[in-house]
Amino acid sequence: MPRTFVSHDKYRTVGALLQGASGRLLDVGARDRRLAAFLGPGIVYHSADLGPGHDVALDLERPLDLPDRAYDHVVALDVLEHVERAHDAMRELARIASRQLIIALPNLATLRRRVTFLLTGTVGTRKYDLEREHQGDRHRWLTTYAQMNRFVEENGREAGFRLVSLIEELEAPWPGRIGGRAARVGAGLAERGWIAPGGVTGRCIYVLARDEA
Amino acid sequence: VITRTRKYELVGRAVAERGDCVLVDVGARDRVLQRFLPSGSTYLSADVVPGHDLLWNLEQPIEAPDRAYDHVVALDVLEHLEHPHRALRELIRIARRSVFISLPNMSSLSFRLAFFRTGRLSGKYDLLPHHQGDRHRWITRYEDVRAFIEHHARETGCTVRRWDIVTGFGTAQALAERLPLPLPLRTYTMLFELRRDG
Repeated sequence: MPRTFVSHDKYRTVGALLQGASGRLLDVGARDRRLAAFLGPGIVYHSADLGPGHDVALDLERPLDLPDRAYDHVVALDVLEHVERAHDAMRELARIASRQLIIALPNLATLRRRVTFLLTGTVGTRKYDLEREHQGDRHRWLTTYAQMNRFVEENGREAGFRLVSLIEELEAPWPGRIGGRAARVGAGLAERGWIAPGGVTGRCIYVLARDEA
Repeated sequence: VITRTRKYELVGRAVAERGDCVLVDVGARDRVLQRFLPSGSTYLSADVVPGHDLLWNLEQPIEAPDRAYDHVVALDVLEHLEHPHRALRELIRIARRSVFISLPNMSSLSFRLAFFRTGRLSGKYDLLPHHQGDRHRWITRYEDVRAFIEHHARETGCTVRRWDIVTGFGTAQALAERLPLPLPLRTYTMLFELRRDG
């Protein structure tokens, strides 16, 4: 399975993946429908989210009220880590996809975040912290590189999908140009198996295809 | 093991100071707290699974009147809930004298070192191929836990007593326990008593 490193954001990555593709696409957890701007003319874009103002209203904590294989492409970028029933949600997303499922998850155990946690006791975001009052939407799972890879691959397989590509978004261990270079060097070392993978991978984008065999 | 003994013992002693009572142990598991209580006390266990005196789901309102029990105890329970804020208010509501709450300090030096070295905070936060059911849902940082407890104590008119328990699991914690570190790094478990009766 090809594994590539990129230094641009998830929207551009997905846009590049779907270049020249056609069919109906459902963007789950679409928020401001930002992905739409990155897609080509062959794609019919539908946004889905919890609140109003979207083409489809859905709640991933419950079974989805959509038929099997309703969309050619189903995309969920940084969504499953917010869902308590992440496993069931992933199965549901696979069920409504006829060709392709694209999932992005953040890696909270990058070197940068580990150093941040060592120094401050937070992973660099307040999405896991116990505030005075409940902050509403937050991360319900601490997604870390090896565990989330296994989570996607195994749940995808059980739903009839094969992981065909893994795209790793680089996260610089510190800001600026030197940090960016360090991330590239880290990616090179990880690719050669010289250091454990995941240290400079801020986000994984998984491309799963329906296994017709 | 040492931590468990310590927090149960601390609650037992604090309860003994206050004379005979009816105490409910929420999230009681194996009812270990009972062994540490003074002889004049009545112990009731509550949990989300059957086999206890009371079957309570803390994600829902508790079916008990206001001030129903002298002492309400929830040791290492709130971090397992999706709505710990609501649950804490419910526990305070049903207590007549005190609420005892303990929470793990996930920002202790030992957890910081573990996450730095391995990229895994603790098994209780794992995302496994299948949902493991019960798990920790919050990274309970020392400063946040104090602010959380003190905020809700203030809002309900309780006074707060706190114990920082430094004994815990693992060699890193055994080391941290002995070092003159600031409490947010050294503490393994935080225990609070929220007193309703002044």
